[in-house]
Amino acid sequence: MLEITHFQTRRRLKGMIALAIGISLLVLMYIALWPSMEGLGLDELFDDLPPFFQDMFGIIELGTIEGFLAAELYMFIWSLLLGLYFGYAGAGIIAGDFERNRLDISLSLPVTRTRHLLEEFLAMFVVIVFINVSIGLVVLGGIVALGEWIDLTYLSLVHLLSIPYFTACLGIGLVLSVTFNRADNAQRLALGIIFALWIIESVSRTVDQEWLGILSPSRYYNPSEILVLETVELVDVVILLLMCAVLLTASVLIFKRKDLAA
Amino acid sequence: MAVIEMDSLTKYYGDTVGIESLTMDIEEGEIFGFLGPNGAGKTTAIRLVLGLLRPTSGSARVLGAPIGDERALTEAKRDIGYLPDELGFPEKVTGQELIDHHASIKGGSRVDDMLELFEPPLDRQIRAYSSGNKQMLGIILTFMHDPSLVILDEPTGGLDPLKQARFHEFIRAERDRGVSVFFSSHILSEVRRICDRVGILRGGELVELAEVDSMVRRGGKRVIVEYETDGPDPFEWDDVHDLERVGDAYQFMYTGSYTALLSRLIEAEIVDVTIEEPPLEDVFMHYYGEESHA
Repeated sequence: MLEITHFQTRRRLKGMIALAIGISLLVLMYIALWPSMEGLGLDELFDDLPPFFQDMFGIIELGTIEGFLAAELYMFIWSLLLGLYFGYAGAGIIAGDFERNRLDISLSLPVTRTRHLLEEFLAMFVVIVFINVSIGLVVLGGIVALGEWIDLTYLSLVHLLSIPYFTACLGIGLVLSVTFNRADNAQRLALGIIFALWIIESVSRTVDQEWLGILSPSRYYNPSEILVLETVELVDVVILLLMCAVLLTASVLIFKRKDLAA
Repeated sequence: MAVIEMDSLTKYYGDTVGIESLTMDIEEGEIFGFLGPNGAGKTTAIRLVLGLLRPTSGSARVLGAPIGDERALTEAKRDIGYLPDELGFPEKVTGQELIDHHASIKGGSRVDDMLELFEPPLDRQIRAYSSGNKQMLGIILTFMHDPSLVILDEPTGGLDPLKQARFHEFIRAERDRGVSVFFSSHILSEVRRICDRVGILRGGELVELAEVDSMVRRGGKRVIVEYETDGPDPFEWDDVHDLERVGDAYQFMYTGSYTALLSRLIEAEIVDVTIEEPPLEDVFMHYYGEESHA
């Protein structure tokens, strides 16, 4: 077992490391900005921000390193951009192989479609875990280098709980990947859907129509609450895991029934 | 024992026929040639048999496994080699890495044997491969786990003539070892040289299933006859196909008995006559050609 995951992970190794380095640079840039921001009285600035803006980006405070990181890094770059990335990557998996006639050879091996899909999924899951561990360490290293400190429990939780969040985004991509025959279409739609879900969820909080965001993974992963308020809603975690399970099951069921002809 | 059994196997893509009610068996230890023009349904039939497509109706078994039973079919694939017509390889891995990956799942007891016959540049990334090298890599992947059934979809495209000849020789040697071969092709000389039996597919339907030798025999003789003056009119004869008038001569395919043919031919003064075995192309054109009238 796991030969396919092993093979795909090796193939993605360079890309995975490049992604981690890219995000690390961005993260370190933000952290390096912190000392010059700290003295600026960001909290007053924050209080002057329109409530719409605060709600939209889930900003709780800006005057502490936790609040700053949550607002500048985790709420936007992390949860939106990386969410889009994993959705996009997931959408390319099966549709991309289908388009280039690679499934013929992959499925000529004695593996069921379910195993093929789950191992491909696991290979992307490895990327999610790798990015979380490496970026978590980079964030911690950056903060320590500034002579600051952050609560390790909640920093770890922000990264740990982003794993089911990214997995849900990956799951959305995967469902599209087994549905569409062209990677381009699946990937564009994945970007559109994940972005729309994120925006709808963000806006729903500002207009007091929270039910609108009920299907958005971002409803159930809030780095600001974890880092700044130091609260984790267990039910959110359960809902995210359920979303992952539903999306993964759906992609397996669709893939098992799919006609593989170009 | 049949290694592939198709029973009324039918596949429609929407309203378009892929294959229509295909019933035939591939026997153990034979090289079966599956012939037809492009779009006749050869690849559809192969993909159905491998479980890549779901049949609209009908059924099939491969090495005893029903194609609708994914678990059984997956188990059977340990003993099947498949060379698709379009080789979709991951581009950024080397040939060696891909072979190792396949070996980790299905075994690779014959990799070394195969590499003596076919030698793609294994340490190079596949994206730098020529089509001939890709084809050789595909052949290695197909046979590396010593399967008892191989399914080859247009296997010699891309190979240079020397490698083609080596491949044909290899296939025959495999057959002699007991391997069953299901071989799709539109290259007739290739089929004639290596296949034991042949099935011809046209418009998704099986129009002929026979041993290659007997098919050539039954394909009839090609007759070219030229009379001094107006001779008998072959248009009125039985067993005459594809009749053409070329200048003063008639040319046709004849599938009846020699006696009947000769007794008719000599009804008038003959200037020239040729009776010969037709090229295999003409035998197949006999089957393909009707498509245009259909």
